[in-house]
Amino acid sequence: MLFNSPAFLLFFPVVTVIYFLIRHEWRWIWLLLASCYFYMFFRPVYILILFFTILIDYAAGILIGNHTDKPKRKFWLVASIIANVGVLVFFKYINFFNQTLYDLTGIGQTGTMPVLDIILPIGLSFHTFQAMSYTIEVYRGNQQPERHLGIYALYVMFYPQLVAGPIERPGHMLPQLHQRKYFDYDLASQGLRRMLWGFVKKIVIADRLSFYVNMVYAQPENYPGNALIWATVFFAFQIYCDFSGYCDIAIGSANVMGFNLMENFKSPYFSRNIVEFWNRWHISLSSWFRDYVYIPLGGNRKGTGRWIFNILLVFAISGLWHGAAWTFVTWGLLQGAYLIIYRLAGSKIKLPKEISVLITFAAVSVAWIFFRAGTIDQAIYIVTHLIPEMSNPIGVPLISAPSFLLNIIFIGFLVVTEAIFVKEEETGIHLIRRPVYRYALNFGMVLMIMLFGIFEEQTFIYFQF
Amino acid sequence: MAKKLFREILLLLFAAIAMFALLEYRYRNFQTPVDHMMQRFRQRAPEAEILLMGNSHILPLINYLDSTTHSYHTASIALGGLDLFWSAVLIKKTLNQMPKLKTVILSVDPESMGYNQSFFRQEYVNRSFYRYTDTLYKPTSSDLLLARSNFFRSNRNTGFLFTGQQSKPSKELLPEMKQITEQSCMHRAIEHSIFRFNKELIPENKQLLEELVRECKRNNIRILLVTFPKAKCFYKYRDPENTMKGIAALNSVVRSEETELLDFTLKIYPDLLFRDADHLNAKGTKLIWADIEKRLAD
Repeated sequence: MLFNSPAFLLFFPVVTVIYFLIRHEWRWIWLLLASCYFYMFFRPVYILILFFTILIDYAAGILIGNHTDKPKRKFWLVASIIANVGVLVFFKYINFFNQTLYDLTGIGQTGTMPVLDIILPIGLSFHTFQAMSYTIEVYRGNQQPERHLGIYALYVMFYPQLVAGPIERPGHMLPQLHQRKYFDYDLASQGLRRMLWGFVKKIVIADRLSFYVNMVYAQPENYPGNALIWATVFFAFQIYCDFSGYCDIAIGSANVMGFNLMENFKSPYFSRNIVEFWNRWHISLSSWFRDYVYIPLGGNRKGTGRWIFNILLVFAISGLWHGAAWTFVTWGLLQGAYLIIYRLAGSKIKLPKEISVLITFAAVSVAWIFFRAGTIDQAIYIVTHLIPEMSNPIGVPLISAPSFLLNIIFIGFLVVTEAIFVKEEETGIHLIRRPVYRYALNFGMVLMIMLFGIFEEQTFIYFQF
Repeated sequence: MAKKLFREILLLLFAAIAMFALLEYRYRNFQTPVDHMMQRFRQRAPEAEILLMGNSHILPLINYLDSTTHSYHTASIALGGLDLFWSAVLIKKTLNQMPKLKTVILSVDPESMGYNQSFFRQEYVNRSFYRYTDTLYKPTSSDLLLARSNFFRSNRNTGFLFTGQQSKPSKELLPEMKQITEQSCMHRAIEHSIFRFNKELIPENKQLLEELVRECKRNNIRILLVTFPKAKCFYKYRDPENTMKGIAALNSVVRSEETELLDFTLKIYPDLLFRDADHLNAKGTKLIWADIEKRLAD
């Protein structure tokens, strides 16, 4: 089910109200049923994959917990990881690996490679990673094995974060699923407002920007430099609003039911350098890679050469996590290269804050080109043609000046709003305190959606991962 | 505490619903170009022997037949950018309103084989048609709801909110006088053959055109496909690859369905016959109509 569909507008209040009406002992059943229903909206049969990994990881968790000797614990951990990664490889990467092998060695059929006709289960990379974090934490002794199968299943399937995160950790989520939840006015009210803001980001900003971006990226060679620059900047904001909008709705809807999900974004485009950016962008994934890949590889403890290798490897895997294509891997490697350059040289250069923010944004936006482009060749074409022109400022003839201006206004609106959020966090003072202003703000957001929203039920970009 | 939140939600919902109701009331008489078109069609449908259908390239012919004396009873369903999806849907939904119909003249271009309005985010056109067809290109639950709303049918035309100015009928959007410039040719040619052309849509459009032809044949109605001519400079800027793909798709339907195609793009016509890069003027339409009329007499 899409958050931006009328079905969700019905689903969410029904699930929430019934959740609070029933006894605590039954709530997990209700939430689990609701989560299954939510997931089965996309492709019902794929719920079986979830059940499969849930059963494997649940059993592996208990078996790891039951054994004290390391080899046996390790065996069950490896078995669980193989099962999870195996599912990922089968559904997401097999065609990519086949094609790459064929391109490199010519192994395979001549002509067209046999391609498995598989549709990627929605959000597969997210719930697989969440499941793996559980068995790893149990193995490390940081987490007691969850003996309640229903609660464990809910940990993986909790509908707000099932298909696109935030990728939760067992230590944060499992205790909450056991806790008796009481209705909390402040948390629920804050959650609802956050959901509304998420809808504005997705429906009003991201989906509006996508029109320009999709048009240019469909055939970039037919557009002038200005269009390529605008499409690149717009995509940077589109993907941010799309993904952080999703997370706002996820976190907000969990808040209404009394749950706290981890923050996934902290105004990343205000970052002054690439290290800061990665501490503020998709935090649940970057911390996952840090804790379960980068640090076990040795992090920065084994010399500069090994550190560079570790960084590049982690970012390459992170790119591959996003999608089975070389464009994503290149995007990851580029991010890794930025980080290495910054650590080795950039951190010594002192620049005014505004300039640093702009440079970081520009670097990140250039990397996004590889993320968005269909092929590496296309991405290189765009990067090498980002040349501004004085004539034709809009760059795309089918986009009218008012429509283009609206895109700019909404980006400006987003930047100002985020700046207020940052200020509020820094000072701890809420700028909008009086109820009447809060109501006006809520109504303003509803009005924005009504007047400027795009209602085509476009899926969230990160659903494909 | 739950009651307090519930009250706040109700207040917000009430304000939003009240605002929406006001908008719906204000837009209750809003006439979209589709409304204008369908009103005109319904007036003429019972007597119509010829149906003129398609995108803006057929509008000069509709204007011409309206302004001259002839013996034909015609009706028209034509709108700027009308795609093959809507042409196919409208044929199915309107044939029963035209008991005397003998011929359908459908304007098709090679470029229309790779075109779809929804693909270029013109969902408001879908919503406008919904009232007359009960059909949507992508019937998502959101679109089904929005198609029933006066405000969203108007494409959220906020100008109407303040001025009350209605949209113009599509027919009137093609005034006689305009200039043909090299630049306008280039813009139109690129727009049609590159920006609004998607080769992925060709199989779907081929199928729609086949369905449309079959529907006419099933009802013993002759269908004549017409590719209207363009100004000389238009051809210069068309994307050759996409155009060839469109021509191949169109010809394949003509062959497989054994239908008639009058292709006026095979000949170069002088600029003085055009009002702009891809629309005929009255003089040009008169010339083309003579050829169409000759074919109709066969």
